[in-house]
Amino acid sequence: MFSKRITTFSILAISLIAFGLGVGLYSANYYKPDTKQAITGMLWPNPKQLRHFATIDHAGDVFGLDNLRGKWSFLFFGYTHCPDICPQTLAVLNQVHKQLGNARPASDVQIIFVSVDSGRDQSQQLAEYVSYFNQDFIGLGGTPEQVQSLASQIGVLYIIGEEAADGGYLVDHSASLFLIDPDGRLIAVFSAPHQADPIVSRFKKIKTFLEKH
Amino acid sequence: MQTNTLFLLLVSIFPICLSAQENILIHNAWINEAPPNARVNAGYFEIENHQQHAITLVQVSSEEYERIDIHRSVVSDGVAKMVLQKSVIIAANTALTFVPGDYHLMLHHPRKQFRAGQQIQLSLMFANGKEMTVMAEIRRLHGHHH
Ligand SMILES: [Cu+2]
Repeated sequence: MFSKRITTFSILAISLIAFGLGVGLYSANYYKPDTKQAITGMLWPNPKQLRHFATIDHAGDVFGLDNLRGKWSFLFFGYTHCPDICPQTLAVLNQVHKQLGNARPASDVQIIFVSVDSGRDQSQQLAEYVSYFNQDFIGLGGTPEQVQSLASQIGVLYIIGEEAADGGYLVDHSASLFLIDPDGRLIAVFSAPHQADPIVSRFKKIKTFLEKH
Repeated sequence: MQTNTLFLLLVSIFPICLSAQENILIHNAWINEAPPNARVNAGYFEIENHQQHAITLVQVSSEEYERIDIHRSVVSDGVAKMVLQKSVIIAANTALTFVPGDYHLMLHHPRKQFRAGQQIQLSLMFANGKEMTVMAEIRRLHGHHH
């Protein structure tokens, strides 16, 4: 009787485990594309819809929300007097641009460097700077208010440092990379340090995911 | 007999003294090629301290730049900042690598525009008065992981 109870218990336990596993596997398969954990950095189910903003691009033209529509945009905020993090990130983004260019027409992806240093980064300065890394890169700037009209919506922080004796100053700025979808929604935030391969693979996953939603 | 002992002692100590002089190695020094209008560059290198005591790097200078600061980039709460380092200590028998996103030389106001492949002489000054010169190669960033 004792052994019979054990057997009954074992069978019950095994079937419960099997049932549990079955549900687990089923739900894992079912939910896999839906879990935000599956794609690092993705803001799902709450991407942020951007509103109107007005910045000035490196050619001197107004660049606003309409310029983000219909394209995937990678945004990085920095400044041209930044010798370490900014050039390194732009070099990584150049790799990203190249890798994506091989997969599909590069025209549906735009890479944007937003300067938060309105005091020093005018259109001409930005044009020379971004084109050094890639001819297709877009540089954005403008007055502090114009830059704020975009940066504040994305939640980008920056602090202009104190001037040194030679007039130079440092700027603390967000190190993250922001991805805007073709509907103008902030869809993902990638944290530093940046590497091209994970950025490209996450981007592809996010794109595939959104095509199904 | 005494002379012999002294001789042996000298012979055995001499190579140690000699290598102690050269027990700081600096290699893979490079400066990232900057966009044409950049007023600042960043420099990197690896320093090995094979001595039994710590060394302290206090200053770096070059004829080719107006001023050089030792910086460290740090990212905290998603915000990147460059922190001035008054000195950098390299502990006994350790190496320290200056790399993008971490310790770097902040090179202000290049005297002219440098292109990949050029060599720039840097002088490193240590707290004990020792000075070392090293040639840093201008390199174009490729965005690969280091
Ligand atoms: Cu710096």
